[in-house]
Amino acid sequence: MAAIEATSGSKGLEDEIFDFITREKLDLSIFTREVSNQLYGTYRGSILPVNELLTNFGFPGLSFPSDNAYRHLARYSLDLLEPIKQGRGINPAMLSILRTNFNIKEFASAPEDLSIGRSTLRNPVSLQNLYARTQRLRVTGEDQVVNYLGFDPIADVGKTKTILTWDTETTGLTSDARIRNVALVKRQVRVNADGTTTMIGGPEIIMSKHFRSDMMDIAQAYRDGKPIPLSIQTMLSEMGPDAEVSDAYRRAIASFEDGGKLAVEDFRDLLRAFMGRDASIGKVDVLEGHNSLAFDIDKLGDTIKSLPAYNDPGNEAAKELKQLWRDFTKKRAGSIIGGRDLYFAQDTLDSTKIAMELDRAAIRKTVEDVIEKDSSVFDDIQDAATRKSLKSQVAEYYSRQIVNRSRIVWDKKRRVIRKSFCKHKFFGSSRKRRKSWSIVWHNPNKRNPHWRSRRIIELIHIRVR
Amino acid sequence: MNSYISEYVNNGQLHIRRFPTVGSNFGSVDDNAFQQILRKKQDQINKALQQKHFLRGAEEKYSQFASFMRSRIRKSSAITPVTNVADVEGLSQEAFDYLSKNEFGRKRISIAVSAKEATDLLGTKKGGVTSQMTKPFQGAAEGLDRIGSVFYQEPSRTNKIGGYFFKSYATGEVKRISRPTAESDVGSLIEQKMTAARAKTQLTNLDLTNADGRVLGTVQNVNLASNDIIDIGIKNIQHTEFNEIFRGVSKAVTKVGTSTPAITGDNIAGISAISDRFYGLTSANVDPAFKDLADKGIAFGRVLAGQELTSDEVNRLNVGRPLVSSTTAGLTKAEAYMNAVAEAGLPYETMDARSRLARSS
Repeated sequence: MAAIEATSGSKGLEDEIFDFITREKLDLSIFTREVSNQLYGTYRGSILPVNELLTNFGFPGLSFPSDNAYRHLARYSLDLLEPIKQGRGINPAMLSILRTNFNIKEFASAPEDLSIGRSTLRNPVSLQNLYARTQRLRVTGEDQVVNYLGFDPIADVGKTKTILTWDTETTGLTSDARIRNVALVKRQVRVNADGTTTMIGGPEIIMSKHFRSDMMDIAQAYRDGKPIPLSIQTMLSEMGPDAEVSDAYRRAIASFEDGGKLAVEDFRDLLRAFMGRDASIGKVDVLEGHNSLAFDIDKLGDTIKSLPAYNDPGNEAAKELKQLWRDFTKKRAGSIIGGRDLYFAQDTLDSTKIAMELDRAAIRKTVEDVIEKDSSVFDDIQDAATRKSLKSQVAEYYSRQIVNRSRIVWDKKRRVIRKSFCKHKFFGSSRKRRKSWSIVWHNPNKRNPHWRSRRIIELIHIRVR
Repeated sequence: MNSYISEYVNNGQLHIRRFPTVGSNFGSVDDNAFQQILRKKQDQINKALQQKHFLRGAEEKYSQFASFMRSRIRKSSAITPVTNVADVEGLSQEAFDYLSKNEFGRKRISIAVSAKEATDLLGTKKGGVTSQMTKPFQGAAEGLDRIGSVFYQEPSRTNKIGGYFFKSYATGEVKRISRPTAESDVGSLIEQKMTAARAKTQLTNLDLTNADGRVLGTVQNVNLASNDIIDIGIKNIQHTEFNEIFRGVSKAVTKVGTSTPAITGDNIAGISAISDRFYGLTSANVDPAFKDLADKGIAFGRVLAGQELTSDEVNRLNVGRPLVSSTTAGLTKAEAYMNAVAEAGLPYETMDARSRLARSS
């Protein structure tokens, strides 16, 4: 903090706090143990009520291989098609569950034996953006879901949209790892009336910046029979056969030297592209990346701020980069009144997870339909409940989930969740802000008499050893 | 690739599903009624799922674009010190020989195999008799189509029989390669694929076509054989340690029979001094800022009033340079370090530098 105050004053501190609360991964380790436990407990108690999930639906039904011999890795499976069909979007609580992994102790006997990561509490800002995006999902043909990119189904039809896809590589896997490569691909699409898009031309790589970091050089690789630092080998293998004689290679070698002056210029160019301020790229409608919210954006911010040149008051590129970063953060995570674009920064991991859940549900329905058509396999079974259970288990065998029982839980939790967010001042407590946030939890289909009985979550029990 | 995937997902053209978890077949379900229903309905269900494109027919083939993407995804791994070596080209000759020719080294490798290679390894049943492979493999398979992977698994609590296994990409089904010569047959295939990948004998430019035959783009200098090496099985840092140990052992062999001194307080003091000279604060490569921090006594201790870090020191610590710059000289430095250890008459001179440092701190 001393460094921030020394270079940027209170404005810098304000920016840092704003950056912190808009990070996808909330780092609870910076709080005291008491505050950290309180926040985690609130999240676990109200926002992701593990006890209630267990009581009503049993254990998570999707089991995955785990590296830890003493822990199960599991997730809940969700039925997402109905709310999409009705154009209501997917309830944010369900979106949160969709990306929550549960670690279950080998001999689990209490709710505490199911743990969720303390560092993976989903940021409500990105959740709100994602919710808005799911409200624009469309269903065509045989329950085919389209428009994950969230284009306006009326205003955007016939228009050409520019999408930037970005990805980063880092020096390692730990929290102090820094970006060593960033790549940007541009594609343009025309939005069709049925919610699909038609690509104009093909995707084009418009930027690939490498940064040599000696943080990688605790390891070496071999080239022509001689050991060379891993950072060099990585660039040579990723930049192509003539890399060594290129200007890009020479620039990459020196990028983090001298306080990272060259890297600051490169990150400024990247942010200009993000914000549509690069004349050669033009206006950007969507910035997408896989796991970009939980990883790439946070890593980009960490890397930029770790560079001494970024904090150099005399560095012009750094001044522009600071402003660009502020504008970028406001555009993706600022207040809605302040001009946040809910459809701008997208994580394709969300899209693929939703698509996978929908496919699972479709597989299950297909299998159940086949069994329904010819129920002679049940001739020996008189008990209707057993028949139903067996049919469900067969469907699960194919779709990886066993339907156990269905019941709505989230509607009644709406108020509690909103209260807890306001209580902890995630979003301030002014009436204006509360009003904007109520949109997230608002059920636009209140008058639908089937709302409460509608199947939202279908679950599951697994055999726990 | 991410851009294409996003486009296909957006238009509902890409079905994504996980393969069943290994060992999760209905044979493992205890319930007889459940198994019976599955057996009776399996064909009908498979047909219905194929019609809706959730299962691929046995005769269906991926487009060239899809095959290429799948091959890249299979071997996709970020290059970092703590992730697996991505390419056989970056291996030392000694590590390459160990992994491709040694039976223990080969067990770390996972490879992708073509339909013919899978048939050769698993055999085909005719009249209840499993055929034997009649001729050795003829080099790594050509083209992009691969139907599964082959890997080694140690016996475990859930899988009592260890050995080489084949996993089908289409169904997720895992079969043990049970032929008596499985170890040498798979070993031979691993060696051929690794040799071809390292020699770049299948370097080509690929025109990638989609299902309609339209060329989406051309990928330059694709090493097809390299695509078949899914996992080399050792991390970059382990590769470095392997090379250091290998060099240390090579030198130590010349001194076999000489006595090793017992560990005493003097030895321990000696190793600390040598470690410090090469990697510690007295090393020439350490950033002066880090030395200043150490002089203040606050690098690893409590910060006293008036001795807070300056913004410059914070910045230097942020980029991590003081902590790693001393290792950029790589193997040469490690070798010199271990030589100094040996010359001082200290034991375990064949240990790699990182392990030695961890034990001397």
